[in-house]
Amino acid sequence: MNGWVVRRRAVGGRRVGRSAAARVLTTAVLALLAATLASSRAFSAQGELFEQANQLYQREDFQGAIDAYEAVLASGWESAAVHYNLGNAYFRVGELGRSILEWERALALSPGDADALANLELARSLTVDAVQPLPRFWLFDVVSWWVWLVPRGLLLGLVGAAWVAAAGGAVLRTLARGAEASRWGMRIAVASAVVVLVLGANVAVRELGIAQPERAVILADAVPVRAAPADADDLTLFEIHEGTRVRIDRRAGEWAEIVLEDGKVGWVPAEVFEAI
Amino acid sequence: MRSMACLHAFGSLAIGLCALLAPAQSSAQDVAVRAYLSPGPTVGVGRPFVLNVEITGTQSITEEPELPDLGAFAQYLGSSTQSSMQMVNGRTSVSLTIQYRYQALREGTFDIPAFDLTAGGQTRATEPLRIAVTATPPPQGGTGARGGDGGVGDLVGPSDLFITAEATTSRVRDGEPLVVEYRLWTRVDVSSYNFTRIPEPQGFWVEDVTPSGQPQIEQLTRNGQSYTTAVIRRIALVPTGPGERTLEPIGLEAQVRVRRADPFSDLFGRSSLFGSTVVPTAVLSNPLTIAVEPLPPGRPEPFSGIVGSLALTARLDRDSVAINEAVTLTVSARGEGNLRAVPGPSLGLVSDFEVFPPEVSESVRPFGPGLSGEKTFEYVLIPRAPGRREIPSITMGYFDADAGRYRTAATEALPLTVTGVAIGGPGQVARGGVAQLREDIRFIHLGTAALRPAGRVLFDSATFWLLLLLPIAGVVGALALRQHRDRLEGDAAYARGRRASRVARKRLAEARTLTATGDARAFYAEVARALRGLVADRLNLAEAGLLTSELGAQLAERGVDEAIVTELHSCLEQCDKQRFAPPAADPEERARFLERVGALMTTLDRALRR
Repeated sequence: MNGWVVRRRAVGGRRVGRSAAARVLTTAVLALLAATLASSRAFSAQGELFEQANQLYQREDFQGAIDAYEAVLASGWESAAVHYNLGNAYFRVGELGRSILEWERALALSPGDADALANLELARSLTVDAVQPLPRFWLFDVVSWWVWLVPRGLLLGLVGAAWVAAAGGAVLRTLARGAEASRWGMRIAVASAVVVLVLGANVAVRELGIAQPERAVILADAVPVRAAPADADDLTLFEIHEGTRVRIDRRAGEWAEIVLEDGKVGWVPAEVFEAI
Repeated sequence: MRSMACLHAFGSLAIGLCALLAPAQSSAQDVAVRAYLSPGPTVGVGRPFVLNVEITGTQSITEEPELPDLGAFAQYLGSSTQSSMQMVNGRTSVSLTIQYRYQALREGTFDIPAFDLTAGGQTRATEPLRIAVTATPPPQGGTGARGGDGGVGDLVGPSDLFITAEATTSRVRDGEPLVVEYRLWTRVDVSSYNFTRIPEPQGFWVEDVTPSGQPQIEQLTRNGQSYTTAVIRRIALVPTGPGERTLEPIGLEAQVRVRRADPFSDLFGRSSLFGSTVVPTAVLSNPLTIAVEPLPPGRPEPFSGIVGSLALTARLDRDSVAINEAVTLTVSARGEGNLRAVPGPSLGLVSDFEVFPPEVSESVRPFGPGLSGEKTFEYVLIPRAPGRREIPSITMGYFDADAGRYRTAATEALPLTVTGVAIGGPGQVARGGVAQLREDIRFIHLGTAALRPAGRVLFDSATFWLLLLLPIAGVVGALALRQHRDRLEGDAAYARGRRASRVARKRLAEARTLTATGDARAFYAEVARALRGLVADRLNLAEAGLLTSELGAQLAERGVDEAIVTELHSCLEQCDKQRFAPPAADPEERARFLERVGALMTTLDRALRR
């Protein structure tokens, strides 16, 4: 901005400034578009692989289906359906532990999935260990139910929309010239803020993993559980088997301290289980 | 009925001697074994023969010898033993003879291989033997002519006692029954008999239809001879598949009472009461060959399996029944043929009826050349819905043997009125929970995968942060806008200052248009106005009557640079000077001046805003 006299130049200068900003913006948008395009291309390729795997499963080529589903997961994409179907395929080839693991993963991505729950119930009836879970305080159940009630996509959408609406209400409240419009802005802002706070808490709990201990499924046929992280038979407390779900409390080198659903605690080598 | 007394003439003499003499020392004797056949190496088919094993030097054997298997041509009948002791010149010799009785079954020459025998701690082998079985038996010598050795069967000739097997037909169709009769013919006195061999006919379903009780004895003439004869066995056969079938002969052993002339033997014979003795005699029937023809193709379904004739009847025990009460349906199949093979008919009832498994009764008897009988199925039906019902016609195919083609037997449809009111409607049939047959996992999820990057938490995504911060920025912007607006409305000086550069720019633009038109006075007046106006607006002073000196003082007070103030003075002086000077100045100079003022205004505005 070097002058006022020659207006054209001055205007030209401003144009230059605007176009620089626009160039940055355009670049950003293009980069974003390219990234989206690239990722969507990868996405559609994995989607096709998923459908191939489904066809293999329906032709009862379960091992082929397992390989295809695993390839989808190995490419860095996942969904509840992939894990669920992979669990089914593992079940068909007789890998009970892996099928339980994959169904648990499907359930973690899509809480309350009826099919995954039904399959898990059937699979648990086939496991060697019949662990009786300890009774839980009812409030924990209620809170857990509420936190996991809404599916993730819907929850994020709701919170995002409420957040935008709250901001919009605040803007309306600030800039409105009439009293009526200002009041409405206030109302919208407060109502949306309440939604953001309530559901946002759910998002935070779920996304940050608050009160979600690391869980795992035993994949080895039979595992002696030791009193300490050492491979000595006289330390054996009890034995657990394939498909049993455990909580991982802490890890020490190659060992992990597990807690069974009935409260039994002990150490097992980390290679006998896989985290959900 | 096996006799131990067949060779008792020899035996009784030995025992008699034995009773007279003291027991002898026999352990030192050597054991010798001899095997021989009696009556001789040639025997007629169906006639008995004896394999004798004579052991000398001992009176007991350690264990029963393992006989060679003669099943290829002979039927084993039984065995007997006799021991003897002889004293010749002060030397005692003992012997033991075991007699294995057989009935020859097949023509030909057969070898009886050697076999081992253990007696008195020593094992000896017999000589191998050869036997010829001929269709015509060798001529019989006079009774008793060959001593005790050939006693068996020699007393009774093959024309004195024999069995005939006779079939009603030798060609049948598959599934068509036939009857085979076994008849015993005798010219001697048979006190009793027992079957030694009843082979199971291969490829036939067999029904024994022998009349119960004692065989009925008749007098018949055969080959010009008068015989006492009786049917000893009658069987009905139903072929189970086409082909050539052979019925193996049956064998029996008869106890024949014969008169004997030897008074010595009568003295000691156990059965020789009133001058007669009982001789066991084995006989064999003739084999039969039956040709079984397959049934022609195109049989009606459901097929009963009957070859003969068939009539079906169905009957209900009443025409009208209350709902949920039992009614009996009797289906009977009557006819000629293998009625036992008739399968349970398919009733073809609607689900409004509950059907219990039928009670089946059957009776089959020989009839003419085959079988006839009746098979009855009694069903208990419970109607579960009211209304006029019908028991549909039941059909069943069979092969008419006389006409040589397939026919279908059928019952008439039976009407049944079910009275009463169904509770809960007609769908009340056996209500219950849905039974889980098996448990399995649910099917996979098809359709789109709804994939998303694995493990990426929400807070890593740019969209999230953009969405989080943009509304905040919007609100902040709105607040700033609001503040600005409020100041514009409430603070005149602020408003004037904010507008200063815009107004000055407008005036300068007007001056620029005047460079071209050439009105120098107006041009310089406008430039001066722009300069003064800018400063007045920025400092919120009254523009009218603003003196140049005062302007300088005010600017200095605001801390504006001395050089800028001097330049301002110089520019304003230039304007004043040119305004009153003659219009000699050229547009070039005016443009240069405008440039200079523009630069000044830029620096001045920057300094005042600070």
